[in-house]
Amino acid sequence: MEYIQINDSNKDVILELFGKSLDADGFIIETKNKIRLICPHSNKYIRGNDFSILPNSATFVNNKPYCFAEHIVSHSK
Amino acid sequence: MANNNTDIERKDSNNKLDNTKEQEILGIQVISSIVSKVEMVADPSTILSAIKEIIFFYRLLPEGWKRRASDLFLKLWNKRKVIISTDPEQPKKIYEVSFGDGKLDKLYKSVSKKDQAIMLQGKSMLDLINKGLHSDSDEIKKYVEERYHHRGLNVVDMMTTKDIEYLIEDMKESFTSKDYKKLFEEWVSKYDSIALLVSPSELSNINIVKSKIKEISAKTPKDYVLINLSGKMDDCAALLTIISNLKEEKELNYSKMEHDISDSGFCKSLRVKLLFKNN
Repeated sequence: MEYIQINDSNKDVILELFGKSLDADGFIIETKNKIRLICPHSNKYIRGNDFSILPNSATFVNNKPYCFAEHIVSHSK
Repeated sequence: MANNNTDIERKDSNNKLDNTKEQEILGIQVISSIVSKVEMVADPSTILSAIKEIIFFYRLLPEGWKRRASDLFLKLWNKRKVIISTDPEQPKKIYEVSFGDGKLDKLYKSVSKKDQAIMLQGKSMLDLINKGLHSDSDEIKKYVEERYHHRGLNVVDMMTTKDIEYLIEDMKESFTSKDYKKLFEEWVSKYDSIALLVSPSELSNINIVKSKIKEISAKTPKDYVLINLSGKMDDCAALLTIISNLKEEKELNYSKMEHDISDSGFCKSLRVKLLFKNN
């Protein structure tokens, strides 16, 4: 697996490429309907300064170890 | 003089436009190059480079090319070789976990999805401990406890102490996946009765440690108990002395004590097995 660091210079582009943006409170939202994303594992909103985008359906998650672990197993054969 | 200043400003502005145009052309060339290769690209590092190039040039592209770049980005993304993160070290800790291809891997594939997720975190903790990153490991343990409670702690403790090796010893060649899962369930549910984790801070109260050892020896469903400690060499020696004294003072009647002290990051790891039957 390879990794890309999100920083201030590339964050807007990355979010745009995935159809996302930030709301006024810094949470990630769907650009088209302005609805806040919810991490499927932590069930919490996702802060724009602390998140990952995981392969297999471009899932946005909070940076918690169980989010990564549960994502891996939910997509394993 | 005023004319010279206007000329200089006009030249600067023209230079900037030229630079922007050059970068736009370069961006288009880069995207075109990726388009021609994307179907064949499979190597993760090549995919990574291509994705990074798209991200870098995206803003410089004219609108029509942005659409192409976006489609290309998603094609490369769907090859599932890249993670994007504000803190790449976090997903790396879990994604780089491996169980090898032996019995531990067989066990992993047999348990429930939830237990697989916990095992991944437990193995990650062990990997971090082995690198001396004890506080990173503790951080994961804190989340495991929050999310999976006591059961989760038992699973990760089995992994970080390597007591899971005793579970693996109980795995027979004839076992099916269902048998592995059943064995795992038994171990997880009874781990507290089989194994004791002693922290160095507890050693200052010898009576409490003695009491815990005697209690677990009385309730173990096996013919042995496991005692683990992670600390300094002095801590390991102190615990071994406590256990030996229990035997000498006839407060505990084990038939044999096996122990091992190994390096565990910057600490020592003491693993003790007290057997209660003559083999």
